Amino acid sequence: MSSLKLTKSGLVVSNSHSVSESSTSESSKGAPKGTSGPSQDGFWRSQADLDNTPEFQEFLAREYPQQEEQLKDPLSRRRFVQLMGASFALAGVSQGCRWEEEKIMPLSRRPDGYIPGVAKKYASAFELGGSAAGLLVTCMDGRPIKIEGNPQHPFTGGTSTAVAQASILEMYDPDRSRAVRRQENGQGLIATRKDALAALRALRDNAKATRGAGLHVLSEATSSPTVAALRQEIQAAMPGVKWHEYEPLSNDEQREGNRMAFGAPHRTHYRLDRADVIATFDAELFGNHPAALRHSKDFATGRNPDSGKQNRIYAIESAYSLTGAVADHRLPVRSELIKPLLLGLEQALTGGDMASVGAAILAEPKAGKFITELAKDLAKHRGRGIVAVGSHQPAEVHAIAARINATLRNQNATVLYTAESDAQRPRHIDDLKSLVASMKSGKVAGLLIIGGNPAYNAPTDLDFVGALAKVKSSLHLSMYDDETSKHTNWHINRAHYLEAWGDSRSYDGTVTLAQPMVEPLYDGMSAVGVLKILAGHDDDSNQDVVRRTLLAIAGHEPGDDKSWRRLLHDGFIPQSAPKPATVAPQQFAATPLSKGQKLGSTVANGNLEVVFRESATYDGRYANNSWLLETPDFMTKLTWDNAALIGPATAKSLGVSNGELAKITVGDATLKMVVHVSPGQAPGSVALPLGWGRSRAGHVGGHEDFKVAAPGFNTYALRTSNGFNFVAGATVKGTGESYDLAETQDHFAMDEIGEKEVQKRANVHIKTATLKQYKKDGEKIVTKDAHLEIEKKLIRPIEGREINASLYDEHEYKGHKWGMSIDLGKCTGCNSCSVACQAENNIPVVGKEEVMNNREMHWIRIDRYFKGNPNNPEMAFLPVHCQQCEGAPCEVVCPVEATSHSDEGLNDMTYNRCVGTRYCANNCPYKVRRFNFKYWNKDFEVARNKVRTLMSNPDVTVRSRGVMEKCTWCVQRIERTKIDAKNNRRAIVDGEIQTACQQACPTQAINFGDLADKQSKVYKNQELPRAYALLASLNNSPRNAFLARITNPNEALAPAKEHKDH
Amino acid sequence: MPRFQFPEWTENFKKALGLLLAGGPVYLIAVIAYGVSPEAIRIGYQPEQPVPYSHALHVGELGLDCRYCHNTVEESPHSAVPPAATCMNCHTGIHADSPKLLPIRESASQDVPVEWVRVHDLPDYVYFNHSAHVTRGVGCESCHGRVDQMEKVSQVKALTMEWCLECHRDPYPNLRPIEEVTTMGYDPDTNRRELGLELAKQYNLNPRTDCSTCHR
Repeated sequence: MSSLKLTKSGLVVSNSHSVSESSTSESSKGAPKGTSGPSQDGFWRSQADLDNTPEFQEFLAREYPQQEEQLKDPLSRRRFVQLMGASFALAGVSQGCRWEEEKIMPLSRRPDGYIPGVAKKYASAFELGGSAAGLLVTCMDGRPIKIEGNPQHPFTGGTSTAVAQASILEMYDPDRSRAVRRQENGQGLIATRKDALAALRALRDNAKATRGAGLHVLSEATSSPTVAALRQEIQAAMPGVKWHEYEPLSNDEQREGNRMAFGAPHRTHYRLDRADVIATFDAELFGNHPAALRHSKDFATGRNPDSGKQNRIYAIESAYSLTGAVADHRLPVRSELIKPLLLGLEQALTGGDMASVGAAILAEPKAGKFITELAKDLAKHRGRGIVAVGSHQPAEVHAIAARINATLRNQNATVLYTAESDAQRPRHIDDLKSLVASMKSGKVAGLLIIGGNPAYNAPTDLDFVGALAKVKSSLHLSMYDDETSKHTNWHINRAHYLEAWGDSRSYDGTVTLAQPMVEPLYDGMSAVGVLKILAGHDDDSNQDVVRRTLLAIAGHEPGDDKSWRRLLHDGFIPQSAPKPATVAPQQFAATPLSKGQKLGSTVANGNLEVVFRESATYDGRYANNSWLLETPDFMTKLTWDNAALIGPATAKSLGVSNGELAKITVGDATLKMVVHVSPGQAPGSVALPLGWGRSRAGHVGGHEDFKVAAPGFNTYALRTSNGFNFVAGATVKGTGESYDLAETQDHFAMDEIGEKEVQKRANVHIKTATLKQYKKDGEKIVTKDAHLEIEKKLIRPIEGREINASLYDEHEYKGHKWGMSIDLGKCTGCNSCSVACQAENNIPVVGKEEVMNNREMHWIRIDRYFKGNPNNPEMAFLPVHCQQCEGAPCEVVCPVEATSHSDEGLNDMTYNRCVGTRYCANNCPYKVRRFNFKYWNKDFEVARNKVRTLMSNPDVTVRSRGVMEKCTWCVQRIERTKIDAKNNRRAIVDGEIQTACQQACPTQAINFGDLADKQSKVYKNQELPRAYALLASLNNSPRNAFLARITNPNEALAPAKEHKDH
Repeated sequence: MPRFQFPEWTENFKKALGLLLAGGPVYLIAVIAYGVSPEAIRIGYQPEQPVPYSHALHVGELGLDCRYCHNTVEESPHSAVPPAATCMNCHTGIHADSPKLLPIRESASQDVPVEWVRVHDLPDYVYFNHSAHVTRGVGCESCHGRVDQMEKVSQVKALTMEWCLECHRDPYPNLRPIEEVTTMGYDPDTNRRELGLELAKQYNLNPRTDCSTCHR
């Protein structure tokens, strides 16, 4: 009986065990609560994580995924040992007793003010798509090595975008064109600068006879006052010269929208700092928007839950944007549905009949409710709201938004307009169309292309290359011998913006000076220089004309040296931005809704929408920039590729899976490209990032001559002038073939046990709460998940800890105590910090294959987490770098003390001591240590690539193979400042030392400082109730504190499920 | 015929042989160890320079201050070797035709650098900062020795990490008032250690011995 009972109970036990097991696996497939698998209540990492696929399980099961040795080299182990033996023997013979003799070669005459070994900073400007960002460029011994924002610049400020940071790599790119090339009978012949000048003069002389008729200039967008002045000069002498402007990513729809709304093509400015409610309709305010830096700064100003000031963002968009990522509410809809939704919003605001517009889409409970509540919220905040529309929405949508902003009295309060100086200019795409038409008709005798790459990025229906063949004489000024240069008669190598004088205006109109840092490396010409020759000047020197133009704008005499020096110092002309224009909305003709716009949010295959969007390479111009290519996309976490982004539900209905090659057909064109299943992508919408699959970018971005396959897929193949921004009627058909994607999100996952524990206890690494909860519960929002009292105490960052639960003795700190804080509520995931860190710390690039082997080297990774329904998830970012633990697990396991604790609380990493056991990386709970599996900088030793080494930061060791490395909190900057302060017998002030990531962060979410100073910003941040330590229960006492992400949702819209666990 | 027998005194060879077998490798290792030790390799390193510039003459006899030529030493990590233009300040008039100064004249007139050979050569992973030492009262002499007596500059200290740390742990005997930093043969009447302790207080010195102090 008893045995039976025992057996029975045994059965019961085993039964209950199996039941619980199956419930685990079931729940991890989607059902929430109380299990080790990721739940939909909590944050999840990626689709694989959510699905808990066998691959992900295996990935986690591997003990140290990033260290798995996958020696793909043909060099076998035995051969390796043989070679090593031989080289040891040789080393003994040849080395002698002393190392190589070093030479010191001083300049024969040292320029005034130059101190060898001391960095100098100069103001300059970076222009992208016609808008400038003010820069401060750090030069070390005459070499520019780092780009930062100009803190004095009134518009763009001291921060910088990832693209601006990476633009320095472009200057040192060994693939840059180094000479002029002349095309003759299909043969490229190297020519000299003299030849190029002669060709330009010939172009001018030929055109002179016809008073310019037949001479066309196609320029990339530029707001340079000097270029404008030279253009005037050219057109005054030769009135027949036609000027065209083209950008594949253009803001022109907004211009045209304002032309409809106000009768003038004004520029729209959003003042995010003044707004309480921000509604973005397919608008990316933080990514590649020309005013992104300002938007980010203003957004952060308005998002300060500790003072109670918190804006609310509604994002209605097709593809996930940075704006969508920080939004409190997001509605994923196809881009074509923006118009009916906006009309619906207008109706709701004016009390009209909502059903009359976009009936089908508005009838959907989700969209209808969203728009209704948004309208209520906007109406409640009249004059303190913004309705923003994205650049790829058609003009009419912009005009409707302008009307709504006027109705809401946002106009002149949060939404400002300024006049454009080139009001007559047609929109870029129309301009290019008319140029191509002239070219095809044979009317174009001479064509000068300044920058840009139309042969690659012009709409396919225009057949730009075909038209180019009919032009008698064509010249292309370009930094790379690219697709366009291949088809022009002349390619003139262009000087980088850090090599030539220039100017530009920032988005608000502030005139900003671009000052060269070095002489042109390859004797390239600048746009100003080329236009000077065309205007009939004798030489192409560019300083004099830039100086003349800028001093005239500033209202100074041309000979005013003092004002010029002031301008060189400041880098911009103060008060040079135009004042906001007074505008009055006028009536405009409304176009009826299209067929697709009347459909609901679900569309069948064949009616899918494709949306073209910018990518890491911008429009393709940075396709050879390895930093940008290897930086994981903020949303997909893809590196080295672009992919068609399709939402999970849509992908399921289409029968395509992640990493599958699919045929995408738009009109007559078909492109086979890889699919990435992206949570949050609007149903029925396919996002196609532009700027990949180039044929003549270089050794990184692909080049036909070098036989280097291009990363990614050329989505321009699907872009026509009628479907320029987005187009409906696309078909997606899976091929069943798979394609390897290098996705980083699951790399360096904090290990399984830690993950489980965190899931069980804290549920999330990212702690989040609504503003209401935060105000009510304060500190509880970060300690709520702790089960034990001791854990609650550990969750707070080091300051305010009363206990030492460690086995080890506590460290004593007498001087500085460096600390950091990262505000997760402000992080937009823009990647600026990551690229800035790469530039500052000589971090190598490893390539796609090695990224797939988990060997990327970024010191700061931005983990992206989703929460909720995969088809419309919430997204949050967690930037993780070395947390500089006080009880650092890495330190105690190092057998050679290569990583040790400093008396200021940093975990020092001593490369020359490291023997590469990798114990420290294994023991790091945050997985922030990076190992040099190879000597990544080996390529730079080739003579051709040596130029790249000039960019290295001399203050940071270049690491070799077999060495561990990690974030140092820019210890080189700390030491420099400390030395400088003491040299001058002064104290370091708070905020004086900025880490590279902090310096670049557009929202200033990162703060660094001295915790010993109770007045420091970082100390105060760490004392905030929402500060918490990551994986606190491990008792590592990190010196970095995250500030919980506080959202401000509209309660009427808050999903019932959200935050129910609080 | 009696077999040949080694005489008894040859027994001493055995002992010597034993000593040789046991002691030989030890001796060899000791010689090699000394041969590659930093002290042996570095101290006394005295390479030929393209111009036989004599510190003994310029500093010792003429009394030039170190900072006349090495003028960046108080601001920069590097104590820069002067440009040829600095030499020409005097040598346009003095010994203007000396064949020994030919490389200097060439450098100044043709704008090419003089290729000096580096004497004090720290590994690239050491971030030594001159300004951080001379503005805190560590004399040039402490590391470079009596340069004023050197016809041809040679290295006098080992410049090993151990040697650096020695001073970082106990800097007091090496401190001097900042005005005396470039003085050669500085010899105050007072007790160096006591003076150093006082100066360290005055200048707020607390040298660190953490890895990141020098390795970054």
